[in-house]
Amino acid sequence: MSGFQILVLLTLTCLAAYDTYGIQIQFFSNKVIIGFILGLVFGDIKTGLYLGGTIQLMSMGVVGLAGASVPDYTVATLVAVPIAIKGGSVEAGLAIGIPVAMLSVQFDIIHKIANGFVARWSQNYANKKQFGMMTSVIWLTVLFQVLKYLVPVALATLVGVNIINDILAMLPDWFMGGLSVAGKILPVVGIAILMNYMPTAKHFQYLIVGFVLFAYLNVPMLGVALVGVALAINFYKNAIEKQKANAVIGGLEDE
Amino acid sequence: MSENRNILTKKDISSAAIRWMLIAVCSFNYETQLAPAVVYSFAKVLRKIYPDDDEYVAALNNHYKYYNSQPYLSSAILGAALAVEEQEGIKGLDAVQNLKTGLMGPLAGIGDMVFWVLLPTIFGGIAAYSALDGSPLSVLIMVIYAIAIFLIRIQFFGLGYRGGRMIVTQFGAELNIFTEAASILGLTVVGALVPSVISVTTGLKFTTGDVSTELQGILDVIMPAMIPVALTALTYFLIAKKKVKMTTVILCVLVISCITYQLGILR
Repeated sequence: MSGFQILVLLTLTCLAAYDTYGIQIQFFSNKVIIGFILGLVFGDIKTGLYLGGTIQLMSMGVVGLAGASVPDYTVATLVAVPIAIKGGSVEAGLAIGIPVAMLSVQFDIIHKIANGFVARWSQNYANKKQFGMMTSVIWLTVLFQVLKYLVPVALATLVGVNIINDILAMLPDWFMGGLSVAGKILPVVGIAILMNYMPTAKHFQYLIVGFVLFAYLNVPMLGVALVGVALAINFYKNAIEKQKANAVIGGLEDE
Repeated sequence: MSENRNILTKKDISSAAIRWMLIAVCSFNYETQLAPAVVYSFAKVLRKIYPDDDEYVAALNNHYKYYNSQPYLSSAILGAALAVEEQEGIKGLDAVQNLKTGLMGPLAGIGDMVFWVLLPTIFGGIAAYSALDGSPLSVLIMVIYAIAIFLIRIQFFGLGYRGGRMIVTQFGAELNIFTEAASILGLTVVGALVPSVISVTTGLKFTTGDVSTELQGILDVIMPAMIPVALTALTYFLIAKKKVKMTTVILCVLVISCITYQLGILR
């Protein structure tokens, strides 16, 4: 790999990382675009586009909704294209790209746990009225995101592929499994805090309504919200009428 | 509050919209999800609304709370929240919070479907197939797609902002009641959020003779998402009633997760 090729690969890796979670215009993180740019720089546009298209089709429907961690096929493309063009086979590229995508699931969980600490750090600065630091530390989360891409891509393409497998083998199972369980439980903390700030005790019954609709009747979130809107309108009308009635009674008492 | 307050300029609104895009999902954390990105987006405009330090801190803390929705449609939600905040100031904090909570669930549902599943599948699919033939048309498709997405995203924030101002003018005097009504919508959504975002299950099995029964199966028959409900109730109790610090709860979750995973209790 020439210095220029490495520079382009690593720059594109940073842009792809930032596009995936940051500005999200679905351009630099697009597998076809990555395939095209890397193909251009590594001297084989056809292979680059072919790999980009293949991985794009593989990744269809693999979406990390609601904060779920899924294999990252964008990282896979960044690794697979240079290796395929240098090594001379599309299969070699895929064989190395896909394990790296799997590894990114663990990296993603660690990233999101680390972000929790940044969030509290930033909030502490807010409470101490150090508003400059408050916003500055939030950029750490962007740095984590970029590193999450840069480290595996650099390791796999520059240092060698075995190191990825060594890292995977080194981490104990209780830690990896424990992390994924923690990832499934931790949203509960945010929800509990939210409930703490809402009139949960006063309007407890509506929690049950939402729960039953989703968990028992499998109503999609929009459906649940529409029922919520109906209940809210109902409450609003009743409360306004009650207010008017009170006003009338108040008026009579004045006479 | 009969007249509209005009503290923020068009430039302020655009800056908040762009600041939202700068951080967005990078800041995703398990406890408050996209809250840090909301704070980053609002830091400048809130300072303009609240020249007083203490009010500013109170408003910021309001936005450090749990928030998550699809990032594109979030622009509209945040625009609306900002409009309410501009009009109502410090006494509108609950209204702002309830508006965000009420809107985030349903718009996440629509947004995830349209912007994460539908459009990427259609455009990505077309681009992928023409890429397999080595056609540069695939690149052109994605360039146009990216520009369209960018323009849509910028528009959403202003759209939400104008909508938010309408809410305030329309409900004016009854904003307290409106806020409480919005919180009812919010609680309904939270009720559905518990079984949808907390996905932990048990792997425990009972063996009686030759028959082994999975505990999760039994729990599902009694009530779906029983473990998420129990965990939510416990965490709410600890945080709201026992005033346990968030950091303590998170560390406990990490330790308990590793132990229960190793013992095969949770998965």
